[in-house]
Amino acid sequence: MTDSAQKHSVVMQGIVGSHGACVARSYVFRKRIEVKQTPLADDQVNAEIERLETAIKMTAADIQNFREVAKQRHGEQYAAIFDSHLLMLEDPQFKPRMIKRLKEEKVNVESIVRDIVDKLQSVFSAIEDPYLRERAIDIKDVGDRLLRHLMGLEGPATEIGDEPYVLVAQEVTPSEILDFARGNLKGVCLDTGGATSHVAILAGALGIPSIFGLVNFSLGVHTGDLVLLDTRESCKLILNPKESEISDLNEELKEDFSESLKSDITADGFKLNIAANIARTEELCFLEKLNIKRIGLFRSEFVFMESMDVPSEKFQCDVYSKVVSAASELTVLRTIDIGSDKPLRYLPLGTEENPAMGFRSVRFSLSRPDILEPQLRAMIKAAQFGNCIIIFPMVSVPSELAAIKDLYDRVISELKPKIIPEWGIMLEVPSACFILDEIAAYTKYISIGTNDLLQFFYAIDRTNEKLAGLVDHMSSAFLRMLYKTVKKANKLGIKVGICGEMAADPVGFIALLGIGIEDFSMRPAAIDRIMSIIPKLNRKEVTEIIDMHLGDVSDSDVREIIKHKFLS
Amino acid sequence: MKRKEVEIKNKLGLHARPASLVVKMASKYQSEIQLIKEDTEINAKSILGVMMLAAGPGQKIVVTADGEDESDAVQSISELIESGFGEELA
Repeated sequence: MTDSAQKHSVVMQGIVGSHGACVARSYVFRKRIEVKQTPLADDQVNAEIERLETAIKMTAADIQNFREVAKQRHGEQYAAIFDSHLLMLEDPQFKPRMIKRLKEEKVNVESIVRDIVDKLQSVFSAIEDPYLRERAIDIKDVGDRLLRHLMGLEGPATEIGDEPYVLVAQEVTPSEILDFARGNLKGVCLDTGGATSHVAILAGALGIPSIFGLVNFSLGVHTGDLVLLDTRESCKLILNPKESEISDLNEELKEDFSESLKSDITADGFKLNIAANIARTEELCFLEKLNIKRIGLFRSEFVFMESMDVPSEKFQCDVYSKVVSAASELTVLRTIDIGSDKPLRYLPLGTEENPAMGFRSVRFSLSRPDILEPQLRAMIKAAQFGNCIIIFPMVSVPSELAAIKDLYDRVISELKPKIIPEWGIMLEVPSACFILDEIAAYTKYISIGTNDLLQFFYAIDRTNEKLAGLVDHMSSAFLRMLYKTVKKANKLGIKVGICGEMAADPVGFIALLGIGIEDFSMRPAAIDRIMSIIPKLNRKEVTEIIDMHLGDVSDSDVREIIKHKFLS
Repeated sequence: MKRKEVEIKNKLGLHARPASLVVKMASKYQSEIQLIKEDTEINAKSILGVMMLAAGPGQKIVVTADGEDESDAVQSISELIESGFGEELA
């Protein structure tokens, strides 16, 4: 660590995307495949041309494959996008020009491909028409694919060995993150993005810390620089950390849950239901790994966000069926939560001043039965494969309940399924806490999304790092609201589950247990930690303490009380 | 050599999909086919060329063909462009 000792340690500000801590060397991903130019001997030129021909054939086969997938999932008109990629490969300005220059310049073909692609990209980047300017990306895509075949690279992550590393980049796509995760990925630092991005959720699913919105951070980091990330409680990012900072963190991280007793039964014999929040079928492997039988939240919008067009009912049904079949006890499927904050490229919704409070979630989906109805049909069909509840996000007024019921009943009467799954709502807008009587007339299942509920309760944007210090799910105001809501809901016979970040925080988890929650759903990476705490807790004792501090109007610091009583 | 002036009718102009259609159509012919916009002249069998032409709605371009099947080539490419490629018209 001699090199880091010589460098200044730099502390950075960003937005937490997912929680965790690590210290590792950075890998800076510049989204560009770098190529060295090497001269060729005269007799090597023909072999080099042959190499180019082979790589072009392989690239064409790749694109053909993508084309087929796009056609099957979304129809011919989307497959046509890949036609333009194929035509680029066959373009007279592409291969013929490469071969011509190879013969003239006698250098390795990679350097020629790199140069031609760069030049084409810069020509396109200069076009005035914004649509055509965007095509620079398509050229890059084709160029990168060709370079990967020439250089034997599999994906963006191939330059990474087995060493643990932190990915530093301006931006990455979800598929790139999954590719990087095949290596020993320990953390992610991005210049762009926010806590609700795809990549944040994927990083959470991978159980690694991520920090976004770092502006120009990636420009100042070199591959190999040490980085320390700690987003467990705050947002800490240190470039070139001091020896003492590294050893302190390593000491803390030694705490390992693999050896400790894990259970979903409390010390006084009370069984809790622990479930995972997931967004993709790839994450279903966590069920077995963590020995859990429930998915407490399936975020169906990802099926939509990763498609080129509204996914077909059949395609959705296949995905949901896989999910429902994998969780033997229960799956909670959530209908799409999209809007101008989580846009779909094929459904432009315009920009809004306040997207988080805008035309999104159930507000959007109820206005689009052409999208919501097929989704419900797909979910109800999938529900025939296991125990399943379908929930609607962001309900805030009683009229939405009536609209959901109408639609739901209509779909059920059309489908006439053998098993009619229960439907429920997500409680994530404070107004819903005050219409529990109305809610009880429609449904007996509520899932509390603590992240949004907290942000709307305090009117604090959870992605704004300047305000991060003001919000806390352990504040008495928020705890009191949860306490009253859960007590009232239970009295009305409504079952309340939790699917927000609060359930993944040990202190928050204990508070929720004391408030009376039995169903907890959280990101997979948090489950081991929570399951190692449960067998040490006496539910009766936790409940008494919470009743004492929240039942009356007191200003107790519940976080400190819980830490001191149960976690020390 | 044959030539014909045509107007771009579809709203998005010669973007990726229409450009692909033009290139595919042009490639069916033996003739050398060019598209000309103001003083830019490109090979109609090159997708990069057609896109770089950046021809937008309302703009006029000239299709030229030189070879055995020049008449058919100019005819079918002009028709394709003037049809608006089956897309929304400007």
